Amino acid sequence: MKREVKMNRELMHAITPDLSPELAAEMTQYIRGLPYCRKEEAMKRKLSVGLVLAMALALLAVSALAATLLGGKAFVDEFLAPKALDTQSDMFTAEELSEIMALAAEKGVELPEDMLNKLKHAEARERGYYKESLLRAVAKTELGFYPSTWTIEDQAWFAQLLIACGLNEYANAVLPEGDEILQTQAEQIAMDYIRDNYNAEVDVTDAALYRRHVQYQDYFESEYRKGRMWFITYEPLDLWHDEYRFQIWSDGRLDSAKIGRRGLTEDATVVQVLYCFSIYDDQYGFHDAWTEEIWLQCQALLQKAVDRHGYTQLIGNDMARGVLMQEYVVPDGTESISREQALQLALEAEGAQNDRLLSTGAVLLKEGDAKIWKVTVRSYERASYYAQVNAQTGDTQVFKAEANEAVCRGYVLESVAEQLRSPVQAKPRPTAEPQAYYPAPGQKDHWSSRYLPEWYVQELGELGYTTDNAGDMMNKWSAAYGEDSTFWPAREYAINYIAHEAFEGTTTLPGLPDESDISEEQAKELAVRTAGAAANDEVLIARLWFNAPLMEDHMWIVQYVNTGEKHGEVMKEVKIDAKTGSVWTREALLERMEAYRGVEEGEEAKIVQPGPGDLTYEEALAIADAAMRKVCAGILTEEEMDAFLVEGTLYEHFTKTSERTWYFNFYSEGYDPWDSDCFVYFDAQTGEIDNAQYAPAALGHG
Amino acid sequence: MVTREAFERTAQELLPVMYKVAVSIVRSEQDAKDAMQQALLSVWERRESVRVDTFRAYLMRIVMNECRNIQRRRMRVFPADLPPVSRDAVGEYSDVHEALYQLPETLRLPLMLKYLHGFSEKEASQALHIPVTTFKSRLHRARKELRKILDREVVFE
Repeated sequence: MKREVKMNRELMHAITPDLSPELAAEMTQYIRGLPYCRKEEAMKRKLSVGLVLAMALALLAVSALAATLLGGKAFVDEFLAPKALDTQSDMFTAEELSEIMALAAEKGVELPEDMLNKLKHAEARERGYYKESLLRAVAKTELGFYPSTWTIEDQAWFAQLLIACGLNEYANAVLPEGDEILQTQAEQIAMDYIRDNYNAEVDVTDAALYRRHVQYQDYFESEYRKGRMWFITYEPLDLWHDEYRFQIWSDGRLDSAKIGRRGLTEDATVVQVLYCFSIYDDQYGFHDAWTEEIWLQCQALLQKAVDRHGYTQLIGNDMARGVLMQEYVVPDGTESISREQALQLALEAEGAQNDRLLSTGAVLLKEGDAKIWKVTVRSYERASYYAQVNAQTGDTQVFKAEANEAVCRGYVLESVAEQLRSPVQAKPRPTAEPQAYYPAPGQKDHWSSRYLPEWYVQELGELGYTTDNAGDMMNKWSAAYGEDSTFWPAREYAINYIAHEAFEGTTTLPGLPDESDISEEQAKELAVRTAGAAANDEVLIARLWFNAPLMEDHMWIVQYVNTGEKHGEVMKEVKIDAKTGSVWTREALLERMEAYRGVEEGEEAKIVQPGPGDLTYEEALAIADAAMRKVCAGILTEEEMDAFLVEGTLYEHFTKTSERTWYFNFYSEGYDPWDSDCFVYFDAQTGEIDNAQYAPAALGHG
Repeated sequence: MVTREAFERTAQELLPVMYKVAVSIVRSEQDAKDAMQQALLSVWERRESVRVDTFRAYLMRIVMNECRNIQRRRMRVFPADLPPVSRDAVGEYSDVHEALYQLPETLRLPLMLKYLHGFSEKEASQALHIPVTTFKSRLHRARKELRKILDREVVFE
């Protein structure tokens, strides 16, 4: 018999090809190099836009030729978008990129040098370039680097453009209509809130302190939470201010207001300091671009955090550890080798003088009495590397970048980085010895249709449901009732649940009530009588469940689901026996479960021999077998039931309700008796069944 | 908007998964590398418009898109052999390895996303650009197919 396989994370990792250590190192450096592309681009963008505008104005003044010069937005509209429609691919080919670059030059659109480098790189490697990226990048040259800072008109324009080009299917970005509040009104609501609730003496309109992001979108979460919404964020541009985020509905209702505690305070922790310093990303560039003064400021704040909160703050934080272990030196002109010369020496050491550089950086550090330039080189042509250049002698040492190296390696001495080196993670292995249990004969398909109530099969038949059209059907229902199936009608909810959520083996399944069950309305009424009416921001949702444990087969669960701020969260629920209408309170359920568990405080259940008055083993087995066949009917075949092995035990003090109890496990060959597929227990003297359940251990019901 | 730190951390964390998923589509280490690099660059450039809570899914989605671009460019219908997997690692599970790659991509990717990195159903469906319900449906079929190919019981943990 083939042994069972346990599919889990370890096994999946083991049976799929691993990233080689060399490629891992290369990709790590690639990831770390990406920020520099953007920063260069951002800086050059400012120059380019200024230059383009200056040129345009000058030419407009003197010549009709100016009519041929275009801004980025117009270039996108008039040339790139039509070009994007030429092919169905979401990328421009290398040939198309050549044409675009030539056309941009002809039309006076100055693409940032870094963008040109990327396009040339893509062209040279015949890789092509994403249409959407290029459209956005060119639009940014005129509209600004952050799309959320564009005007809402420009955001809507770009969203529609992507749809027109076949690069997106829907547009969230919209414009206010009719009675919907305008951007100025939405912003006023946000600013009033800041003033009234955060007591902040801060001017979020000060462009030197805050970057303002405003978006207006069509928002859809569920039937209860959808509509047009303003998203406003005031992003601080320094270390000392907090961030404010707002969501405001189109009618002016405030949906949420959040404050991001980004501003440094006196008692800032190490993590807070580093987090706040990430803002320098925007102000001064990423770490490669930091001056020694900035490193010293960061170091001082980290030291303060450690002094205040202790060294445990540094556990697991290599960046902070590295910075604190390092002595940074501000260049004073006495160095024989300047920053630029150090970089040149580092490039020469690897023959990289002619490389197209992604980024470079150099920081001056102290090692003993010597001053050392730590240089980082990232280029398109080779793997990233580091160099240490003696600032007096010019002696240069080169070090290759590695995977799992400390993130601060480029800004600290190699000797410091060595101390911070992260341990390499062990390669994942499949579970050495899976805890295999063997399927019983004829029981390969644990989760198949044998569990399904007849109702479900009939419904599927009427719907023409197949595995092939299941996805389309669910999509249709998602579109009709929202993504969250919590709010779907009972029939659709049940089919979705059984088809897609229940296949791991539970036997308790949702469905529709039959004629002998109390109705959905009656269930809700009972729930309200028990737990009160739903609050204004709640809706009652009733689901009927088959094969409910502790119930007589059918159970209603009535949930009070939040439709407000805690949208989708179940606030409380009431369980009702669908046959009798009796309500199971939490206490009642716990009590019954306790009875099932059968152990009373101070009275341990113990195995005993049958005595006078007890049913004999044979008599008890007959009762248990009949009960087993009853609960397994419709789930297992007669042959499968016949194949069960059985073990019966007589207990004393097993339940609260019986003095002595016969307990029978029906299990499959290869299993432990307690990993049973069905269990039955009953009063050992009267034969009255206490509990009988089909609950296969292999499906987690043991 | 995704900060640089979040970008680096997430990209680094997902590297092994990105590679495994990319290789499973393009079946070549070099192409997988190209796909990852192109995707990372692309996502970095769009990071201001990406929501933090959907970033992991978004990154995986772009990696898969890029893989498909590579496939299209190469007109590669029947791809090259997979890069080798360590026999030590696969061991007695070589049939599971083979069965996984016998699955069509539409079924294999949901399984990989679910079990390689514990993506939630919501995240995985976003990564695959399909509704959650479709993801569940595909996962269901993938598990069934895997059991059928293996003729062996598979317990999904």
